[in-house]
Amino acid sequence: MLRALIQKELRALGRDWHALAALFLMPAVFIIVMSLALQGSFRPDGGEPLRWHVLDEDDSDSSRSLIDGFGQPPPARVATRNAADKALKSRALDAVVIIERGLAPVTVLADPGAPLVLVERLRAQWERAVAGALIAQELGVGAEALQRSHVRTQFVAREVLTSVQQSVPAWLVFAMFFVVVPLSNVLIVERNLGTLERLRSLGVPATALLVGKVIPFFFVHQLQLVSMLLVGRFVVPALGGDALQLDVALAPLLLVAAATSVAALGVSLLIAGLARTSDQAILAGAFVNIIFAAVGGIMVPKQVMPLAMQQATNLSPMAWGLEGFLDVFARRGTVIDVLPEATALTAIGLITLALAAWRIARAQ
Amino acid sequence: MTGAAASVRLNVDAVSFRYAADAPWAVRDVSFALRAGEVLGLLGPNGAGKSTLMRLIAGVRTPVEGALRRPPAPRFAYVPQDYAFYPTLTCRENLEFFAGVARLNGTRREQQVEKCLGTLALDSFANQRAGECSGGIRRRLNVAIGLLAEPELLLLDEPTANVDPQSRAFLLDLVRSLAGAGASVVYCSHYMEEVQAVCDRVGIIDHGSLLACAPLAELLASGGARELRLRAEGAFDTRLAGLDWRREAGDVWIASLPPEVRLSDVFAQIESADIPMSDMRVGLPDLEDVFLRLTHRALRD
Repeated sequence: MLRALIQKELRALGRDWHALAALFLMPAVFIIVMSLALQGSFRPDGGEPLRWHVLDEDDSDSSRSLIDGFGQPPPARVATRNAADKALKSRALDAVVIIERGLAPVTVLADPGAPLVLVERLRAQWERAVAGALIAQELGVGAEALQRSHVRTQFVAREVLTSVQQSVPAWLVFAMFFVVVPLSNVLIVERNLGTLERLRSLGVPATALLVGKVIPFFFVHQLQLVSMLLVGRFVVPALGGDALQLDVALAPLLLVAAATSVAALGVSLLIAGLARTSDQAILAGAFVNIIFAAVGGIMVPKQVMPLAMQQATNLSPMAWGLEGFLDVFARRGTVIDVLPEATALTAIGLITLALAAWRIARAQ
Repeated sequence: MTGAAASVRLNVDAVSFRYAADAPWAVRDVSFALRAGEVLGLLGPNGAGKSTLMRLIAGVRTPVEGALRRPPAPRFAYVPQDYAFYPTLTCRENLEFFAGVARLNGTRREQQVEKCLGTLALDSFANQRAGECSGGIRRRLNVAIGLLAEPELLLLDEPTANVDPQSRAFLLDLVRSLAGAGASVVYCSHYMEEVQAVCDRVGIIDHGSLLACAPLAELLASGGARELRLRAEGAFDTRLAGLDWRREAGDVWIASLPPEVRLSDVFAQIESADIPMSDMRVGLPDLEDVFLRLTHRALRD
């Protein structure tokens, strides 16, 4: 009986093109687009460099020394403030660093559309360079020694989190919760057309029906996992992005995937069980998923959120799944490390599955 | 157990049901038995309680009072009024699925799927998605699913609703042949002519109560005396030929004929009255009349 129930779900899913697109195409597209779009934000060098020149209005030995000592090759120059304004307005440049008479202050004149993080980084570099030059003048030592960076950042993982490491788990978790589409399509047809009654008359209990839905979609989730990892590993780098590093521990990865699957199935089946029509289920499912995703750091990475919002992400099961995957991919965590997230996901999954079973039994 | 008792396939004993403690009874104190090879028609208007009674027999609902005895699944089959299958699966895939649920395995499963496709003339639609088939084909598929496990008891709830005349005739023939092969059938409908055509016994149900349950002839005989109908234009004497005439509709008048009255005498008196008459019929009351007498409302109300 269980075999027939599982086969039926898979056959129905195989013909549901909308559901297949939501489960596989949508996350793949999101992973590619967001990995490429956020690439610069995640790189230590900021990704694409800022296009900037220097306007030396001081035109002294000190200013020339400052510019020549800034880096190799030395930054290019613009001759006048008019030329600087023109280059910025025509967007030929993102910023112009103006060394005013007397060496200081130094102004970073930037196009409003230039990436703020890069403008700020340029300002900090010049802050350090000018301070170094002024101190060196006072101390009579070479400016290069003071301009060098003496502080560095090191992350606990082997490498810095990349956009693809953020995007793959984020959109994978998002797509896993979209099983609400195929699940509700079948369950609501079963309920509204009297198929549940027919199955009950044949002695099929609600628990068997539920298990007959959970098992195939659990494997669909694992197929999503493999597919999205492959997209991150091969498709994103082929389009110019970073490649997802897959040399991670398998056990914690599978544990997080399984726990996220249980949570996604529970929430989806409960929504499908509560809705009266397929349209209602899809609307409610999309609404819940988008709220979970917005709050849970799927759409906007948690690390760029203010502290209060970062704490609010804990309200979303998607955030638990994402953190679990980041434990695996970014922090190189073990089973012990992912256990808190896996436990929370499994708990919410089992609670919602129990409620869904109750709803299905009532509908039968 | 006596032979007669052993042949009883379904026993419904004082069954009552309501959807909530403060709701009116949907089925009230219904009792009947069904023997092997017998077709019982349940006749009643929409909302009379027929489908609820079918769900109680099918085990989808549990009686609040009374008891039911029937063969266990899959030795009985319930064919709901709706197209209770999966529209995105093909006809064959639907049959395979329900055969699996009914625990038919291996060769028997394949044989039964093929047999049901053949019996319901669905062979040429086997690989067509059920949701893309016509209403008649879907009705046939709905019934075919019910026949997969060759049930001893078949519960058919409005099996011909919204189907074309050919499919209706096909399904009625099928019911007759199933009964001929020994299956017991509860045939639920609000189409009087179907019930008259295929059922050995007829139960009339209204407001949840079984008002009558008897062989068709007996039920018709219980409808009362012979009746004479005539269509007459203009003024009409309601004591014509010494009978009590009442207007049935428009210019159609109807009178009961007591057993002692001779038809030839009545015809002679009508003839001598010389009234402009365009039609005259005499006969026993039909099922519609019986239904009207029992429920005080028309069947299709």
